[in-house]
Amino acid sequence: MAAMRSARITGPARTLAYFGLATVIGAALLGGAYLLKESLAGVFVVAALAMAAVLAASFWWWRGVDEAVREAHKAAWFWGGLIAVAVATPMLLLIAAAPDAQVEAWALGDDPYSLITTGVLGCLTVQIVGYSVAWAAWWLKRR
Amino acid sequence: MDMKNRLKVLRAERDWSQADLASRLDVSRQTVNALETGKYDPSLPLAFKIARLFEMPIESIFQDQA
Repeated sequence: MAAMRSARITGPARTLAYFGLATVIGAALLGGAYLLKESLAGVFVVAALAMAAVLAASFWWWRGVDEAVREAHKAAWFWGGLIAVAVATPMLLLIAAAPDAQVEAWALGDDPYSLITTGVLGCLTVQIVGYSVAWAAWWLKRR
Repeated sequence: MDMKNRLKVLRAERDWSQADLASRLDVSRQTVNALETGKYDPSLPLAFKIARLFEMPIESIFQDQA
């Protein structure tokens, strides 16, 4: 038991291992999706497997980190999400209020696929930036 | 409510580094630092673990400033 405990990956190494796993899973997803691009069902199967693998990796990582690390992520989840909503909502209202605005100029393209992709990427970006800022602020405050 | 603690003193008395204490408590060094500076209050389970490690009652280690 003691040997198992000492062999456990902890601290920053655990987080690095987690991101490494996530990168491998992401690469596998992209590779799988490319190989199966002719089969929509195949892409869905690969995506489902990748999501399950990411969830399993996240569960493994979360179980091994200490309570302060968890608290930082809980705070980042709330405040980062709030910041993201606070930024994204006025943008949405502005676009809705001004339908003639040249939103295509910001998009990856003017076809529906590109517009939807741009919207999803925009949501992810504000969420990740808000989360990262809130997470860093939590730790900086406790240095 | 502000909480003060004697973790840094107790650790220094035993000549442990923050990393040593972190390892004994199974937490990260950053968490030990946040605890020592009084900027993070531990959960009850962690406070009991600290008390067991130093073989002292919790109230001898942590004091509230109310």
